[in-house]
Amino acid sequence: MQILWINIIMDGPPAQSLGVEPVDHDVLRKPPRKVTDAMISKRLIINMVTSATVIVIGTLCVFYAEMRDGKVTPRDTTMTFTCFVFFDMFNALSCRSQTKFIFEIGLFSNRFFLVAVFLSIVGQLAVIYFPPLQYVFQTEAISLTDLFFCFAYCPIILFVFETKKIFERPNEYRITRMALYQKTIEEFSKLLQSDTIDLKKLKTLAFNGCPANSGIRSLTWKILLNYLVLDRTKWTLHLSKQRELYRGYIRETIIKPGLQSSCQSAVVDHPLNCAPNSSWAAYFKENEVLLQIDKDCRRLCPDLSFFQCKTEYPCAEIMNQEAGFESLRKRIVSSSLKVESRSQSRLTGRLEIQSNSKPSHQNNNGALNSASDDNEYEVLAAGCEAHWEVVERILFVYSKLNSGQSYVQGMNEIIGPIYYTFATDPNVEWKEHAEADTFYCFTSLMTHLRENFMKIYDNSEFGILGRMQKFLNLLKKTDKEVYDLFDKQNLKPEFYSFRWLTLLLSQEFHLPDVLRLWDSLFADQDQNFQFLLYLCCAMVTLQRDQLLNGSQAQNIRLLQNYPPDADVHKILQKATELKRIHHL
Amino acid sequence: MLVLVLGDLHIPYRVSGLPHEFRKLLTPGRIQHILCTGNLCTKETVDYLKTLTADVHIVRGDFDDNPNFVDQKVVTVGQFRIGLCHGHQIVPWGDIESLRMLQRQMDVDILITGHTHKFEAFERDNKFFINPGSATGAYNALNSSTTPSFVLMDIQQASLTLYVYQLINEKFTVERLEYRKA
Repeated sequence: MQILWINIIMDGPPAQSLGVEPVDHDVLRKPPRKVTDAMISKRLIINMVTSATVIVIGTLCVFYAEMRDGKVTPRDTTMTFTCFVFFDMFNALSCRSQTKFIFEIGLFSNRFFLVAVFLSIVGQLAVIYFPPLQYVFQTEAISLTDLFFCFAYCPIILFVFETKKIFERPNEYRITRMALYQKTIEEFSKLLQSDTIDLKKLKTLAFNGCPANSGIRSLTWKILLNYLVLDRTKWTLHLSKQRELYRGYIRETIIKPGLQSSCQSAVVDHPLNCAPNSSWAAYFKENEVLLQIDKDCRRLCPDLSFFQCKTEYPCAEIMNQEAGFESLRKRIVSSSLKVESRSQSRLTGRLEIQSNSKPSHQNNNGALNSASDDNEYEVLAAGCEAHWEVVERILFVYSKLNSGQSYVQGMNEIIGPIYYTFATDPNVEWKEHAEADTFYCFTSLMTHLRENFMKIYDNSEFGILGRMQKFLNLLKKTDKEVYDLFDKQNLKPEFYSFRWLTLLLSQEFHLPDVLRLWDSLFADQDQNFQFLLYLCCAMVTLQRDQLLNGSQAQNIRLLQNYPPDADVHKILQKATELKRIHHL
Repeated sequence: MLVLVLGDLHIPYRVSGLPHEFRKLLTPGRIQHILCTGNLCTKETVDYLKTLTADVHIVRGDFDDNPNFVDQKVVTVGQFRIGLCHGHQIVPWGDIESLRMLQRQMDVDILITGHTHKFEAFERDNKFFINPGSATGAYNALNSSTTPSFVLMDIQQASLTLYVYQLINEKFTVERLEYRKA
């Protein structure tokens, strides 16, 4: 009977109430379960066996203790029976969550469970103390002390399980990471909201990485690249001034020559004019530069769809189709016209009209790319501008304003991550003006990198060759073995580090890693990107095992295709270490 | 968008080639489309035009070697519908009323014809009529000496700017005309 009773009160209300346990929202944060995983996992079986063992041992202990007086009385069975029931109740309590502690999910959070357990306990007490039921179940009333003893003894099972949960906590690491992330955001926000920003502190913080997916990185870069002054109160005025200035630049540089000649009529400027002072001649000359920019911008970050998507803030002048403004890409992409041919049929005398309704697109350099090109470069609907077109415009304006330097292939790779950061800023007020902000930050960045892109500086100390030599000297100091190996295998730095140094490692890693690297790079800016050299040395040093055992061909291949999945944090750590030890 | 309009070259039957001045002016890379009124006459001239730009539209003239050109073409540039026809089909040659009839038939905003070897550009009823003349200055049935001329159209959506290049006394002159579609 007692066994039957246990069955009823355990499989009844308490087990049912476990089914209506309130939802644990942390389940969503865990990775999805594999479909092929067994429903009865090993863990579940272990839990079952453990609880069974503990309950059995506990109950038998009680029974043994009661049996020591030598006689089998109903008291023994009652004690054992009650203990077993209480064990079950506490077991049910700990079963409410497989991973969380009871006090985490709240002792009283499941009302049904409380009600069920209460009813079960009441039932149990009734069975023990109510005489008719005593007769049915052959139990005996036990004293209050004994009852308390059971109540105090049975939580053993609860303790066992809670302790087990402590050891099974796999997500502890992730929880602390989450807390750390929140803490970093708080620190940055506090720093960035003060009226005068402490640049040194910001640099230290930024060196350890800006938190992603918040507006913090975009704001930090604007400050580190000297676009925003440290006095926060002056920002609004400064920003509106700069943005107006940028719009002025656009109007100056992207206007069509045909409109201007209406004022002066002395000598007509015509499109076929080759004279150097002709605005048409200048227009076509800059089209050559534009062609290069266009080609480069179309394939910015090809593995991201971001640059091919349309921007929410296209250039107003172009969208309103103001006279003289046209989308830059239209200047160089020529298309053939929609043609209708009308001919009189000689046989019937009727007029036949044929038309080709699908005009094909081709580039101005003469190559005819047919339908396949249409699919490659999907043209957005009229009135839309893709992000790469915005970048194209920024680079075009930059090249026109810096005609000494013009545009060199590679600048698009540097502006890409900057524009991406600004245009994905969650704050709308910053996102709206991403184009103008990118222009200024890019200009500021280029003042440091300018020498890398100009041919005349190539052989000077500041040019790219000089930097590669500095890198090599640093490598000699930090890792003599690898340096000697490169020397022996004739691995000149031009073979691999040229791209690293000119493009600030933007081509070596995936975009999120590049952004992280640039956080540290910009935060170290006052030393003219010396940190970049340390980063390159770190990259080489971390691959030293493979390099030392590889042939020349293998090493070149490894260095030129540096594994993009390499752990960027390790590289940063190593570079910081190297910087501390060796000075340039 | 730059569109070159020329025709009535008659190379090599009446003239040996384009005038030197014009050849110097016409370089690839600037012009995007070519509309040719016809009478080129040979394939070599067509090839030469194709070196300037890939998009060349030609209609049949009465002296063209290639019989497969169409008689009339209508191209759409920006907001303009441009009709192209050689003009020998219109009798009397160059008659304004007949041209207007043809324009109404083709339902175009700009009608380009040739054959008279005389440059003309005028507007009637908000429709434009352009005759680029002969780019080589070839003789005509009615006129033994003509001024070499051709036309470059700059079309921006709804406005048209015409640059007329004429060779007068060994020197080329440029004139600028503007039209706007109503």
